[in-house]
Amino acid sequence: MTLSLTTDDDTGREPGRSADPGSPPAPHADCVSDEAGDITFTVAVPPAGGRWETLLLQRRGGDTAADSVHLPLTESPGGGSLTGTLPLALRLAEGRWDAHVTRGESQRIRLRPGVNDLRTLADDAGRARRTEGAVCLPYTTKYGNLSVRTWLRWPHAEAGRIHLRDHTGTVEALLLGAELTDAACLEARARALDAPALTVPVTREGPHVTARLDLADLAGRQPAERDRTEWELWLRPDGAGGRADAVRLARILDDVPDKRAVYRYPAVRVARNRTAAFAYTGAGDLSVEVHGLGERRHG
Amino acid sequence: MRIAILIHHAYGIGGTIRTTLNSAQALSGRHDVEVVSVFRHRDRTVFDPGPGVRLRHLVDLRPDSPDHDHPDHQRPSRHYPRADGHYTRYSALTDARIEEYLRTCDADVIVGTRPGLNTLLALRAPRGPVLVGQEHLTLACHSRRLRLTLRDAYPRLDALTTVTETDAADYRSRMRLPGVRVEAVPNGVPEPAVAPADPGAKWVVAAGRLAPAKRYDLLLRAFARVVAERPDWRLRIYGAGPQRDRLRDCIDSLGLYNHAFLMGAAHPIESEWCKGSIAASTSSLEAFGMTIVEAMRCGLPVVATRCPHGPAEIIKDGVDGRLVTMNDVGAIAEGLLELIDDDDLRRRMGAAARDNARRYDPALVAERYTDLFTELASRRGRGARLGTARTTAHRARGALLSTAFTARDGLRRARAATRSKGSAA
Repeated sequence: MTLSLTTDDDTGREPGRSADPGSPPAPHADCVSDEAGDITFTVAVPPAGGRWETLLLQRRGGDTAADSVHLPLTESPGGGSLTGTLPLALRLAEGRWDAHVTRGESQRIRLRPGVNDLRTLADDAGRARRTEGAVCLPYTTKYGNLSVRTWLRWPHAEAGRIHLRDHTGTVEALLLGAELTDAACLEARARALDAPALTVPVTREGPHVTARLDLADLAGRQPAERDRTEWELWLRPDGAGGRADAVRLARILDDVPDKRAVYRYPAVRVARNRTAAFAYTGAGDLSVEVHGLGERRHG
Repeated sequence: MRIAILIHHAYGIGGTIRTTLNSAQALSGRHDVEVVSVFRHRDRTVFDPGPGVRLRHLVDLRPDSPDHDHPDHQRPSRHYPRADGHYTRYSALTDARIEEYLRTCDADVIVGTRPGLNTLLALRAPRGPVLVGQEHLTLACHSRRLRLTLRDAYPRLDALTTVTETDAADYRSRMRLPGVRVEAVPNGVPEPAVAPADPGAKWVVAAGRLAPAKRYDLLLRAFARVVAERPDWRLRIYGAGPQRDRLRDCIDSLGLYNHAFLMGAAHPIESEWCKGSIAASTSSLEAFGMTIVEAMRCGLPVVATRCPHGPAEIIKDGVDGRLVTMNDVGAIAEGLLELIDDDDLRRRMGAAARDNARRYDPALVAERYTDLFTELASRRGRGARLGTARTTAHRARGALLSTAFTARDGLRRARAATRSKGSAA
């Protein structure tokens, strides 16, 4: 159900001075992930003014009933704190969910992050055990509030190590939720260009695939008048003409909310005036970005 | 006791802020504690000192504050010592506000937290309260000009605290501070709110500002050697700072982009320590080594360079961590590999690190401050408000002596100049 509520913090922005001296401090939640990837939120019981009843997660930019999720808060055995669990089985839609605590029909307040223990999410070994491509990752927003980054991808191709040598980029990935055949291949697609995808074969070992991309070839397909082209990387489990859906290469099985900032790769100079570089998007998808150098006209 | 702690600003994430608020919180259990932030530029502090600590500011630099465009804030400070690196941030406005604060402050003890503020306390605080200067950096890293300023001012303090024994010894031997208690009181680090780190995790973690003195370039080069032997291990460096692009280039040129990651600033950092099983600190200078203690409290053995001043006073080499030669990539790599290759050693040293770092608990640190403050107050007579005659005598003597030393220094400089002229001729 969706409550019609008033709040001073709908956008995730820093609350104004009113939240400062005098008014009670904003509640903090400690988040702990378990082996399965479920997240437990722990909120201190406020000293006065009654306890919080639910944990409300609200998807940013969403306004349907499914974009608001209430999780019951229950008093911990020792008292003093309230806990609520976000199970991956809820399969929240992919996006950013702002966390609040609520009381009654009309009171809600944005949560601030406490101390997180998300070590099970940082652990690679757990990735294959993950339940059907659902990931919930609590993080601190730019304004210091608590939100949850979610991904929901099934089947999913988790991008791994990338090796750069001369003009060749080799990318490793793990396919979950689909079967690979001998025809499996990797496709580089440029949405902005009216051009066919570049297809390369993959070598496979169990669910692991390795694909070699000729970055010079990719860069050569960029028309001279363009400064930049993004090539999305997709895995075709049963080949270019296969029936299985293409799976976007992405990185979702770790504890990093913004892959763009952390997983970065050097740009490879593939021609006198072109570079190509592997890069993650804000959504965690892996692409190759081709940039033109010195082609801009001056004056 | 009423304790006031004067700090440049309390709203950031730096080590001085962290340790000051930790101590303030611990002291507030038994005392009336006020943290006075000269500046305020944010609505909230990053670290919450708890409900027992009063936090106030003297100059509000938030955009909609009248202080923001105050004409007096455009005029240079006449009180704050020029030799302190933050001189240009102080102004006629801060002079007036600090002066007013000190005049009306009814604390028994006033604590300064950087050389410029300690100097203001020494020279401008009214008679009465016990005056304590804290040195969060080291004497050795101050400019000659600042050392001369401190030489004039510090004899008027009741006590000077450093964060290491080495620095305390430096102050005692290199600066004449008659009647001033010089004592090392380490930074406090609270017990982490997360469970101890898992020795099985294959992550090396480092944290700190991305500044040249942290020598993360050495850590990356050492880690390239580690990866050559143990490609299953990876490195995370938490922090922000001016070296970011340079370190990025370093990662790229070493081909470490699958193994070493710049994570950006993280708070609270214990959430990140607990994902690793080894911590690394490769600085060329650590006044204390707050991150070393933080990592140890989370149960991580630390591989640290034996740099001045803190690491060797924190880590017991071979017991709860490893001390390796400074500026030596091979030694750092060897130190890391020794722990990487020996699961049992990692486990044992991690447990020892956790035990041994308990001595930095803010409650214990606060006890040492309490003892010091109590003793200083009683040295004046039966209470902090009494015995001002003696204080005055002590400060006057200090001032005379420091002038004498300045004169002696001038003489030495003149002689040295003469000598060097002579040898050049």
